[in-house]
Amino acid sequence: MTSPLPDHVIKHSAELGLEKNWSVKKDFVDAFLKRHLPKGRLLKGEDEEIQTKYLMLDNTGVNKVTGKKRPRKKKTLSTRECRNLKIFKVEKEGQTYDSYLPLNHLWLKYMEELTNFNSFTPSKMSNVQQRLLKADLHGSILTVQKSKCPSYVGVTGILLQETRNTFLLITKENKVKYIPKQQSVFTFTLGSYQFTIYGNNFRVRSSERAVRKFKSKATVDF
Amino acid sequence: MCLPKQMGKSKDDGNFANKEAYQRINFLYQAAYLSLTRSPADLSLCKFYINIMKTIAKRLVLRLHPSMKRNFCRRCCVLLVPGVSATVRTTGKREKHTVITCLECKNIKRYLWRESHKLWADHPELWLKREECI
Ligand SMILES: [Zn+2]
Repeated sequence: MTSPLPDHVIKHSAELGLEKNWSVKKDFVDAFLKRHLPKGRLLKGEDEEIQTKYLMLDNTGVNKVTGKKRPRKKKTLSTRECRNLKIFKVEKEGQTYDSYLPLNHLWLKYMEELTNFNSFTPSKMSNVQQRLLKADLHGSILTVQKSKCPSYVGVTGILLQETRNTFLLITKENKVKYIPKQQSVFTFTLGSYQFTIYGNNFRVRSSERAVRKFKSKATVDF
Repeated sequence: MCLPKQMGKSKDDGNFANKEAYQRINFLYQAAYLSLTRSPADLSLCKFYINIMKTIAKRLVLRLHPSMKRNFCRRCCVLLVPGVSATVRTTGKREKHTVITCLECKNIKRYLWRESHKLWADHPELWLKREECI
């Protein structure tokens, strides 16, 4: 950090009064400690000690007794921890279609409140579509209309879980099935209208759909 | 509930900002309760719905009512129903408080019994009136 003074300065150091500065500095430290240390500690001779002691100015969170750093307790689980703990994993065995019917009724009530589907007119259609995009689909009865994989076509069931890339349906045969959104077209009915979901354009997390703005994309049929 | 300025202009009383989001939160909360009462053994769907509800509220910066917010576990998102998914105990030698333990992940919540403490939502005089918003 420091380098020796250049020669021409040292030559004239006495004239410039550089030697004196050392003593001034030392006096200042002594005076500062005498002013700011409590009297009891001054008597113990602590002011001598402090001059050679290191003090951490920021709180490092180190335990004084054991010297161990204590980890800060986290209050929420991260997404990865959620997945590793399998918190949201639905059991496939022993589920019945009938026990999920109340969820469907609840969803129908929610839709009625949101869109008044029993009394809407074609003129209000675009407004309703905008609302449906941001609505929740858990509990709706979805049907796979088209799919690249023929075994998915015609599967009907109550939607239990919507993730970014899949729908989890429970069918009338009490089977729990994961169906990928990609390369499939889904439909659901509200009142006398049928709505179609293009899975390829629907690959968003359901919670994100409430916030995101949608762009109209051209759909390529297959 | 307080209404933002730009929405106050419309005379329609049933409309306010983020109405769809509030409806969705309401639906998800009820769906979570439903799946909890349907199968107290399998709480995954209950957690999933509450988690979505939490994310929506977070993303749109909406305040959940304290009675709602205090009713689910912060860590694993399960609804805290005393006797089913949570225990409620009162303890404290220094200061009396209530401890609610989540039976799923053993996370605890503590609520002090301070008489002076009052929730923000319990002060009706602090709420903004509709006229003030407009
Ligand atoms: Zn918990």
